[in-house]
Amino acid sequence: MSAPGNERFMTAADGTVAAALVLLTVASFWWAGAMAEGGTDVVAEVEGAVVWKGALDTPASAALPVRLGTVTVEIRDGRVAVTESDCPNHVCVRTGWRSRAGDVIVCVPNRTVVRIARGRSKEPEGVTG
Amino acid sequence: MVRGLSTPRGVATLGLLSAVGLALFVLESLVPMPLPFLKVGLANVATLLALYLFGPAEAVIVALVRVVAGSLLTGTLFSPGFLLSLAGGTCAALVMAGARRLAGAALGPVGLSLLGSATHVAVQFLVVRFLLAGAASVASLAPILLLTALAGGFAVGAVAWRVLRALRRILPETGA
Repeated sequence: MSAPGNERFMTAADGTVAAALVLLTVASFWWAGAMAEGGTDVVAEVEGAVVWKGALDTPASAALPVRLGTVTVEIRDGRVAVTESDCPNHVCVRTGWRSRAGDVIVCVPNRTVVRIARGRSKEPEGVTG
Repeated sequence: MVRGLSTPRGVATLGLLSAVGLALFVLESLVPMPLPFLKVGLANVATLLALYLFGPAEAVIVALVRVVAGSLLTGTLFSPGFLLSLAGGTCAALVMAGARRLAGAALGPVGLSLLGSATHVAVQFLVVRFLLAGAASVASLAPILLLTALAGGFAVGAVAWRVLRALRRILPETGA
């Protein structure tokens, strides 16, 4: 089994394996990012209760009945925004379009929170590895 | 069939390699990691040495002894972590053995070790995907698992290369 030329630290084939694994690792960062964005839920809460749910990858809109009238939530192109609101200063509307997990749109006068939660509702929840 | 078990010297050497693997396995379990199944895979040095000094069957034996006895010592026998170690360690040994059979001297310890650690990660993905969690959480784990496999696989291969070089010098008859 003794191979005299086997003293070299890395052969060409070793280098190929290493390069392939580096590529795979780089690709996994992209994959993780893509999965995290495609699998995010939009949750709208009014006065502390969840009143509406959506997903960033499914265009939708909803007019939520709130204290001062209605708040309109819209999901389009993988982003979510409050497009209309019956409130004095429209901070929520001016927050604009959001798309990252953890982002929050708040309308204080109407006690309304729209947030982007991690995970997708189709998958089982509460499992730790 | 299993050459390493046919002579007293072979049995002793395999026992030694299993003990080295076991010690590294337990040592690594003492190092705190952000995720319970994140492993550098130090113990794979023993599997790799068994593969070079003996052959495929001996490599799998050393991997199995380490995982089963190591899980007994760390108290994780039959836990999800044990399942990951068992499937990952055995498959890594098999892939390294197959690659050495196919590629011969073209692949050195570093290449084989990287193939082994990549296999370990792939098996972990499959086990975690089907037993524990959904695709989204597996995807979010992929970068850290692969980065660890890359660094660990390289380190393990480098150590095995050093050990084999030294063995060849002091014990030419081992055929390393």
